[in-house]
Amino acid sequence: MNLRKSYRNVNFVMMAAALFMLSACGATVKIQNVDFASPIETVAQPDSDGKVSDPRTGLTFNVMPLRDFERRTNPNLNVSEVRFIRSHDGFYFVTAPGFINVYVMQPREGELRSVNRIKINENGIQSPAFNQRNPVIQLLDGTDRSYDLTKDGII
Amino acid sequence: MTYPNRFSITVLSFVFLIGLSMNTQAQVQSDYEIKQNFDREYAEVHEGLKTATTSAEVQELLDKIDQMGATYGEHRDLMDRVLYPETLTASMNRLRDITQTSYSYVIRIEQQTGNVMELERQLAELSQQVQLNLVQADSLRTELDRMTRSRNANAAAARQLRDQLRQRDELILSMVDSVFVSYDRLNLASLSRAEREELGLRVDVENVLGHINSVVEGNISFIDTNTQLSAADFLRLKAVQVEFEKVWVNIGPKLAMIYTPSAQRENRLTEINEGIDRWRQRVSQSVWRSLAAAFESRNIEVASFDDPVSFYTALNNYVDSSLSRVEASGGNEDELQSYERFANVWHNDIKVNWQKFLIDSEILTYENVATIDRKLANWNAQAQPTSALSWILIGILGLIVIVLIVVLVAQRKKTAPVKK
Repeated sequence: MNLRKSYRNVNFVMMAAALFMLSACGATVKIQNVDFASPIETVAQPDSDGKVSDPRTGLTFNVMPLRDFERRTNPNLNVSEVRFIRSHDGFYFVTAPGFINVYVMQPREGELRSVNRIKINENGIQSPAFNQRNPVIQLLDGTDRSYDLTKDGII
Repeated sequence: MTYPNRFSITVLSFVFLIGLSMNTQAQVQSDYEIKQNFDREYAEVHEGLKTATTSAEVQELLDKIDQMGATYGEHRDLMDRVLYPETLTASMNRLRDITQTSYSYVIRIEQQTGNVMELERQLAELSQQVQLNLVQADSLRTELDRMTRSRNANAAAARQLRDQLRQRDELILSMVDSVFVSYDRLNLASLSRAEREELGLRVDVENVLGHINSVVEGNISFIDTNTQLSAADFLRLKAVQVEFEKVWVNIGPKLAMIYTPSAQRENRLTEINEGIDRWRQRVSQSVWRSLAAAFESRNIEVASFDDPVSFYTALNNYVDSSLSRVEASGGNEDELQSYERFANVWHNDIKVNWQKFLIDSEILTYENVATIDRKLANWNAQAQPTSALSWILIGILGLIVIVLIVVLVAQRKKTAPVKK
């Protein structure tokens, strides 16, 4: 009887220790109110493989998926330069001359995933340029029009 | 009271909207474009500094910097962010400092160029005057030859020639003092090779070393064509040559460095150095020949000499041997005449007319002159003949001595004991 009771005590201690260790392994540290806003847009020329990079931040990605998507409506589109900027909440706003859309991309592990596609001009944006106007991203379309963008669209 | 109708309100609204739209248009500008413009203008100023050669050009760049400061000051927040870790103010200050330094440097170069131009002009002017004097001296020499039959006229022409010579020598020395020394004060050593080359390009290269060479050649030609000048004249020419050479040794390589491309520098220096060597040889030969002739014409037989050491040795030996002779034989009229002949040359020619040039030409030193002065004083004392009064005194002294001896002998005889 006593032996069984002592076994029960041992099991209880081992379970408590295991729970403590599991909770310690799963602890996360969270930093809030982070401002990811980059001060100025990046203008980059894609290489022959479509790769663009920003030497200031080290960000490198391939623009071909966006180009291919745009070619669905404009098959002759060539991408000579790509413009992108990061908003305060960490989303990348990407577009290029001739693009119909501004792509809102969220950085994930090893990828940028589109969270929104903001249509600007059916005929393609002539000369796009982004300005950081925290909390919004300002888009100039080269025709003296400007748009205030968030990850959710034009406001 | 009238109120605007609907049409007027519509037009005014339209105009207002256009104005608003234009205002909006004016404000909408790409940050990236602003940054690109800043980078371009910054680079333009930098590039402008590399090529600016005048203070006006650098001043334009300073104005441009001020303009940039005003333009981009309106975007200070953006610029401070995109220029991080620097700021707009720091960037503009650095650019302004560099430009200001260039401005000071260009101003200094312009001033030095101005100095060089002025010196070059002075050199050309002096060189012309030297040439003119050479021509005048030639014509005077011709005139001198033509007037040899008339002693008075000859003397007048010789006097004129001598005056002309003096003016010419003063001119060359003035050039040496004012022009060469001024070149030296340009502080060319502080300039880099590129700066010296740049400075050299702004002046007429041939004029500087060319004028110096023409002065040297002109002097050689003058000595070659005026062989009948006096010893004093040649000594004066020698003093000028020594001074010229001394300054050239100090300044010549610096002038060549700035005025002559490196490929030709050695040849140019060699050419002028060879000219100065010939000038030195010719003037030295003329000096020794004229000095020897001057002693010979006064019946003073000094040993031959052809350089400063042998000249001083000849004079010294002459005085020493005369002194030994007079010490051995005693003073007499002949020795006194011999002394006076040499003393006359020494005091009236050498010390009065030649000494300055002998010392300036580094032929004799003040110590040499003082040594011979001392020996001459001794020679003078020794050479004096013994006078009649001296003989009488000596005779009387001799008689007194004889009388004293006789008296002493007589007294000794009286007091001596008689031998038995």
